[in-house]
Amino acid sequence: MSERARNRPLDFLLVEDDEDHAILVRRTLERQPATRAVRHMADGEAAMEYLHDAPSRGLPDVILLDLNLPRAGGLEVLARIKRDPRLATIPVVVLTTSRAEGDRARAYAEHANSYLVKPIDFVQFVRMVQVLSDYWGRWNAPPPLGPS
Amino acid sequence: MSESSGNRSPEPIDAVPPDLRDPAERLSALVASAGVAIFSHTLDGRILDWNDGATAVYGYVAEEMIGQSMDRLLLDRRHDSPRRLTGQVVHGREAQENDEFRVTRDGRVLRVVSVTSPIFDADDEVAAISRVERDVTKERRLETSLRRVNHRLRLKTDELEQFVSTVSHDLKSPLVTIQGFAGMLREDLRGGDLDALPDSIERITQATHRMSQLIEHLLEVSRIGRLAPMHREVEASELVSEILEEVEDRIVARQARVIVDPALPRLYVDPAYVSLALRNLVTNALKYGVREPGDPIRIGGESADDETRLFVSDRGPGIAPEHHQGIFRLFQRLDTDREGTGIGLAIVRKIADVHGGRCWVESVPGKGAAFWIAFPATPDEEDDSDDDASAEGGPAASGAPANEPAARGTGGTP
Repeated sequence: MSERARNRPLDFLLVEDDEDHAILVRRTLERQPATRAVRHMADGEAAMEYLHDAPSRGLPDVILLDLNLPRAGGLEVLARIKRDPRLATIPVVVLTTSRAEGDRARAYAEHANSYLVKPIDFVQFVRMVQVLSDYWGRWNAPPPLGPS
Repeated sequence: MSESSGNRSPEPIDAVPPDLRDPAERLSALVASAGVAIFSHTLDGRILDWNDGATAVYGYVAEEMIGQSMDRLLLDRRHDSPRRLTGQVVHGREAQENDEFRVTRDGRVLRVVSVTSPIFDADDEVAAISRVERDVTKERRLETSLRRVNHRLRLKTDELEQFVSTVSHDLKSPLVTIQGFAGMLREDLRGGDLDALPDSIERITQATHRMSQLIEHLLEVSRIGRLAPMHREVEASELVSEILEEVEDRIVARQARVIVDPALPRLYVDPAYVSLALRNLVTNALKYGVREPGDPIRIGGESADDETRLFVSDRGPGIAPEHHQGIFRLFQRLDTDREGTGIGLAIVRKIADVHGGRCWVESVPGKGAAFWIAFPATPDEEDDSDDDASAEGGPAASGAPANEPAARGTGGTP
């Protein structure tokens, strides 16, 4: 009877090379009611390996992707995810410090689902993670599970 | 006669001097005195006519050229385009305009624009070829240098764009860390949870340290090039031993084995700049090139051709070929190491640049890397724009004042 969406427990894959930032995002995410698990990968190749090896039921619900990554860079990871039919429907949220127009343009050109600039201010940072979790966990209707 | 306006005469006869009343003579006078090279030749290249303009451009007088092959004007007699072009004009029966090379009587190579046209005989067959040629050597040289300047400007703009984007990224990252851990620290304190406190404080401290290092390096890189290098002769071995003394602690800490080649070249450079470049290469080798205690770092050099080169090599992990260019760009890091700011090699490149030299890396991944920096053996000539101006005709005959060479360091800071 109510229009309220239900919380869906989310598995996040966080691809972030900056250890400090990874801790911040992870700790903040883990406090959100929608979060079930946060897995962290520190470089692009490791993230791709993880995604390729994961069984379809074990794929993350949302990928948080930094752009500045060692080995395969963020944009390359993004392109590879979106080219892979098994992974393409997973929402990829670019999470970066770069506000540069070029980075934004390239990220969207590679079909990023969202582009978030990490706020410097901690209160804003926490708020952003809350909204992010709320949006993908509560409001966003995920793609139906296709034949896989 | 005075009513000629009503006669629609095709020629304003009044204006024509008496000895040029014959149109054919007038035409030949026009060709003879035109300020461009005009000549004609048979289909196999034997010169038929040769005007004063051609003499002015190529240095040969008509007597030398008429009856001779035009081959002597060609740069590459076997492959040069005029032969091909003659064929095309004969076949196509139409004029063609082309950029070509010519050799003058005194051996100079010219760029000319050549309009090649067929001359038809009474049967409407192509019987000979006419060429109207204008020397465009100077224009082409200016175009080339303009293109070069444009290219350089574009590189600068790209570099600047990259600079802004990476500075904002690299400076913002530690800020996110500092604010974030300060925020968590506050929360932890409020909740009475003191376990994570030391870790948070350590991360904040490290981030501020990283930031101050970054700012220092940025200032360093911006200083290079603002001061023109002060060249003097210096022994590379002197610079190297100074640097090794400065970084001795780090050599000991990394347990590296530093080998300095006994015969290092003498350089003609700004010692302060080159010392900075070498220090960056050596500290890089210490940071990334020493995997095991006792791993060697070798410093050597050579004099060859017109340049003197130095190298610093290591047996570290090496660098994949696709990164050989990029690593000299500002903020390009291959690793997410906490030590590097991604500025060191950009400093090396900038120092090579201000000396008119170059730098590069030779590396086989897994087997180490050698970073080279090379300097002209003698100081770099002034910019080529000056050459162009002075190459033309010696002392200026015109009353135009000679350009004062731009004084160094005028205009203050950019």
